[in-house]
Amino acid sequence: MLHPPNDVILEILERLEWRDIIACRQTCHRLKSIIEASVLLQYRIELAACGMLDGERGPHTLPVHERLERLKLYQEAWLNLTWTENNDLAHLLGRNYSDNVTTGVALGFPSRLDSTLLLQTVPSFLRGIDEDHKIFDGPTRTLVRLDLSQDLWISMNIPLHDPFDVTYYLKSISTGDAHPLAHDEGRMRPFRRAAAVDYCGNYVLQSRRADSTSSVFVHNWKTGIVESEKREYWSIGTEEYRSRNGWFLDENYILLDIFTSDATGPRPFQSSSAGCLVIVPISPSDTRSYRFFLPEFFQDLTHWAHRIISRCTGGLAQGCFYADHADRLLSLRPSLRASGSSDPQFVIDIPVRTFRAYIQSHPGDAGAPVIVPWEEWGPRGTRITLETATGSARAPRTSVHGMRRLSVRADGTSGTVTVLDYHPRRVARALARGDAKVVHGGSVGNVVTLLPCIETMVPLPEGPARSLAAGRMLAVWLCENGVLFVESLMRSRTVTNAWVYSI
Amino acid sequence: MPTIVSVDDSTVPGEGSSRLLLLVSSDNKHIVVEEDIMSRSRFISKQVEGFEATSQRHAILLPFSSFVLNKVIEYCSHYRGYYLLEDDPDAAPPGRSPVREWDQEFLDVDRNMLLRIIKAAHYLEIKSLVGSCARAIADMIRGKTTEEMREILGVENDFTPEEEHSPSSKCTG
Repeated sequence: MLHPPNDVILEILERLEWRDIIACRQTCHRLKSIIEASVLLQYRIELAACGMLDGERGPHTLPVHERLERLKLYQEAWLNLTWTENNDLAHLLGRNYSDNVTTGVALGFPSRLDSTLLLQTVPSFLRGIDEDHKIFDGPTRTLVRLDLSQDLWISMNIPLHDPFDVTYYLKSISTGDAHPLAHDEGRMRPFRRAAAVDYCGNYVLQSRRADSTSSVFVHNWKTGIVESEKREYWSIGTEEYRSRNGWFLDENYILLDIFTSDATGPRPFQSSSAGCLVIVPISPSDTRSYRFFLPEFFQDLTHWAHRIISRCTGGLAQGCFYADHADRLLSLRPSLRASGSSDPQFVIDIPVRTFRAYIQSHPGDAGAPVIVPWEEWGPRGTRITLETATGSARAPRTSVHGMRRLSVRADGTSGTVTVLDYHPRRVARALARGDAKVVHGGSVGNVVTLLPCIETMVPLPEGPARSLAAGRMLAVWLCENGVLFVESLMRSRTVTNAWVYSI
Repeated sequence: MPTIVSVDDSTVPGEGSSRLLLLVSSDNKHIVVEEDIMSRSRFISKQVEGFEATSQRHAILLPFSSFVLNKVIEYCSHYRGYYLLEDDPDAAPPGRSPVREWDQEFLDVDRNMLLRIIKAAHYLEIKSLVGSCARAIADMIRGKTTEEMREILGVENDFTPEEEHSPSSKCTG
């Protein structure tokens, strides 16, 4: 019998994925003790159990034992959420605030007094990230997307005299100049009338609506080549529905929303067969298409004026660890057209893996769209929450990061922060240990959903609670670093207060 | 008992770099190899340093068979004069060993032989070879059941049935 020395066993184990390491742990006492004594292997297992990936990039490279310690603290912190640290982000004050916050970075847009763009890194003790900020000149009007792992930011300029003549700029975060890898000196002229843009890895997506079709183009921003072009046209019953927006669902699929919104303003849903999410593969040779229908009550509400799809942007954070960007949550929140209505607000949370699992088990045919009724995918793979707005009927503020959704609710003079965590491994662990409150599904009317999640509720910290009570606009962002609260003026969106609370 | 063979420096031809070493395998085969080839092995290098300190050269006894030893020598001869990052004691420890095509072909042997080579490479402190072998074994293990892993690694199940089914040895995910 051969007995390789422990060091050799370790060399082999270190080259395995966590699933195999777990299986090896069950082979014999010796391997079990080797695995339990190795910090690196314990770190890998802990990462997997936490549903995290290791961030190898970035300047804050910590040793493995330190990462393991911080990872454990981090998980603990999410389960017993308390506000431990408070930093004021003074640089944000006075700037115009954007709803576009990428992992760990807040953006301050040019205001009347200042024509520069601010990239504010949100500090965190747990991740070993210090406060940092960068200020850039340049045309940055409405949209900025960031990818820290590729040192890329995409900004957009819309000239006043021709709103269809949009230009995108691909720049390097570290220098502020054109990104060295970008095609055509970092300038990208989209097709005229491009309505939306999204970003994923090497690709930039543009969608536009023309006549009765909607087209989605996927560019490679490094080569400038259009790698895929998808057209969708459909009419259901007597109504015509067109997609207006497209997003990357993950590296393989595009998500289109079918709800219409045309020149005369948002159009209400009138057909009971409307209201589905369309998912198409990115690959140009793959002509399949899936239509995931939403529950009937969602479609029947004639005054749901327009939808807000909150979605994790998937930017990878610098530092020691981050959530898996393929494991994300799609959070659908229809918002009321008329403010002050007492109708209930609800949110449908859909992990992207729900779609992936369905598509994998139902390959479908080329050409003909696969119709997926709500009953087939929704009840088991989603969760509907009722978010009753009280008092002034202000819509709950929510943000999504990875598999977590965070919402803030005004509650008389105070407020509550609720964190819902859908990651299946974290939920399984919480169930096994019984150290967190796991809720099994939710319902609206007779629509019942079963997807479990970990629910954590804490009162708002003092500062944000005061601004909420004073009727200010309070945006809340879940960063991996903690939670960022931004108080701003309702009309001008000028930031009047900004706090970051590390958890 | 170690056989001390005194080698007179003057009998070795050429420059210092091509001096000869006598290696003795566990099946008592004597193998003469150029010192230069074996310099990739930290173990051998340390032995040679010892020789220089005491001005006494003797055979180096190794606890594995000539079959395995020849395989290791073949590896070292192939990479003679090459710089491999993993073998550099001054370089930062590499995260993962790079895939080298020649290594893959070289290590296309049965699992027992692979385990013998990795043990020998570990004994001789040839990090690049340990890395390549570990990668090959890891590729064998990947995706296998616990039972198949025992077979590949040559270990016995010494858990009691209770331990085997206890929740602590199972993954929560």
